[in-house]
Amino acid sequence: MLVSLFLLSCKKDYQSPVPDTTGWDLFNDASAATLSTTTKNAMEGVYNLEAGAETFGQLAAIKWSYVIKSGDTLYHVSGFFGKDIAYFICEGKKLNGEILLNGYWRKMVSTETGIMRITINAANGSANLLAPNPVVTKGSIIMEGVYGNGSETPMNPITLSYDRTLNSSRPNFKIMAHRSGGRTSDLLPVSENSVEMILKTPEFGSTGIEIDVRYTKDGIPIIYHDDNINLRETQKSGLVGPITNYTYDQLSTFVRLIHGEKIPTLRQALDAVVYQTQLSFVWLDSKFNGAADSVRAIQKEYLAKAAANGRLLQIVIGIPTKTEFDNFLALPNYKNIPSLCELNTDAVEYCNSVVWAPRFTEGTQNEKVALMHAQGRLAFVWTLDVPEFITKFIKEGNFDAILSNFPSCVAYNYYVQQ
Amino acid sequence: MLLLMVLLTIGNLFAQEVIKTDLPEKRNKSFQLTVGGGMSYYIAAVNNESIGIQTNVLRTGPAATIRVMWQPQFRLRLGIETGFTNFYSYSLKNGNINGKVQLSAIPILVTWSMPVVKRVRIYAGFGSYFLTSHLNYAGKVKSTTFSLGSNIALSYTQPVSKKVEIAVEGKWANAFETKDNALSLQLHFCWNFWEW
Repeated sequence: MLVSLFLLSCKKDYQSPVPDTTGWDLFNDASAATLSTTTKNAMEGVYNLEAGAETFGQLAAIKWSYVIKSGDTLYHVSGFFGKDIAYFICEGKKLNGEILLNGYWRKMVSTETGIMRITINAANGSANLLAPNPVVTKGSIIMEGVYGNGSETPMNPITLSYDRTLNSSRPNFKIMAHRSGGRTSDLLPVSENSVEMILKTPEFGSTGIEIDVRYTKDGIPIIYHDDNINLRETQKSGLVGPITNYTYDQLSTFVRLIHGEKIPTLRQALDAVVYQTQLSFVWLDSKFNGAADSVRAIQKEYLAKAAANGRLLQIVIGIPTKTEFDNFLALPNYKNIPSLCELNTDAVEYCNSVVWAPRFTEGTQNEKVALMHAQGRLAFVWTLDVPEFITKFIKEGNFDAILSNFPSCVAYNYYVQQ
Repeated sequence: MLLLMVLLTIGNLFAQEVIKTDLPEKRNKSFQLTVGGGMSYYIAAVNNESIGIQTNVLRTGPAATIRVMWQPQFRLRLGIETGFTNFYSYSLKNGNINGKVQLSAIPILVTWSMPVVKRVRIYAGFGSYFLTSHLNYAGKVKSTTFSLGSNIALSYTQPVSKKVEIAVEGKWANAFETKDNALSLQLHFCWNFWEW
């Protein structure tokens, strides 16, 4: 019995730390320069893996993203693979006529990660890519590189050969990231529902986010998923119980998310979206009980800020259950408030939601999706995490967005589709 | 886990005594009430670095036990246990505002015990810890939650009279869902309040 009690009290803590990628001298060379937007755009596409396919699969979708931090624009190139929800995230530079990509790879089905270093030399397409008007055709770009395991020096070869442009058959299709980018439990380097995750999620291919909105004791909307302060979402703080027991000042002083971030207010989260990212959609998942007036006021304020900033951004208030539906109907002029309704299509029509969002277990529901489209609404499906289901919904469904904890998997499946 | 406990319980019920213990045939069947207290020391990690404010952590505090055990003629005994454990507290100063957090727990456990050598018993409990945090920072907040947990204890018992014993007990209290655990040293008074 003592042994069993001891075993029950022990739980393995899995980790997948981002490896140190600063050890590539060539990339650190003082004369290495940033890549132009033209080069970056030309590099995007679907690539065949001529080496490394046994680890990452046969295809990769290469896509650039950027965010703004401290006034600087930070670019990353991501490679989304078809095997084991793998991806790489690299920075890019040019040096002596070559293009260098330096970063790390990760598999979301396990803790596997490691360093990734890729080079495009002049003979393999860098001369073309660095030209003012690059012309990219099949096989005209060959990325040659190495990847390793953990923090070890990368030795395993990977070769990617350009095949075709990224699928853009549905340009308004949204890759929606759950909890602002993914779950903390999936061993991501930043915490779910944090500003840091909002700034990270474009690297996973996300074009929109879902965030969970609650109220503090003093009525401030914050971003937090669970009812309680717990070790799944926060570091040990000595505080326990419902998060609504505490004021924002108290939470801000004593509670930190798993990776040390503060719990953000809704304003801080939307500030990051509007002024630091190119995300085009925000789904405010209502986790609160009671009136949505404060959330509506902030939604209105940030829609105006986005418009003033030249951003095409949609922010919708989620209606997940009948309770929130009733609360939403209590808002003045509710039919003109952008909302996302998870209930049936009748409820969607009743509150004039912009988006209908059924759960994936109900299938592709193409007839109902077509009905929503005919009414000028969008249809999102949630929360799809199994790669086979994501593939099926993209190939056979007509949804305008897929919400997933693995946006990189949705990105892969969407971009490689022919 | 439960299956293992049941198997161990059944095994112990039929186990032959091979060591010198409080021999069951010399002992009446009884219910024993144990009450006592002492000091605890919080042994789990407290990492307040990411708060970004210097904190003063106090890991010691009072601990108490109230336990009722059914003592049959078998070696294995069964009972329930509650009490109190002050896990830890810390204070900080943020600008001009002083703050203090205190975390304590009341265990509610099903407890098994067994004599291992003469006057020495081991205890193992499994159940819940009812955790309470007290925050005093820009207002007072008392908030509670439950955590699955266990405890393991070792006691040395000295008979005082036919019905009364004094015991010294070392205990490891472990609220494993919230990763809070503490060691305590306690002095217990044990009373066989019902014998037959």
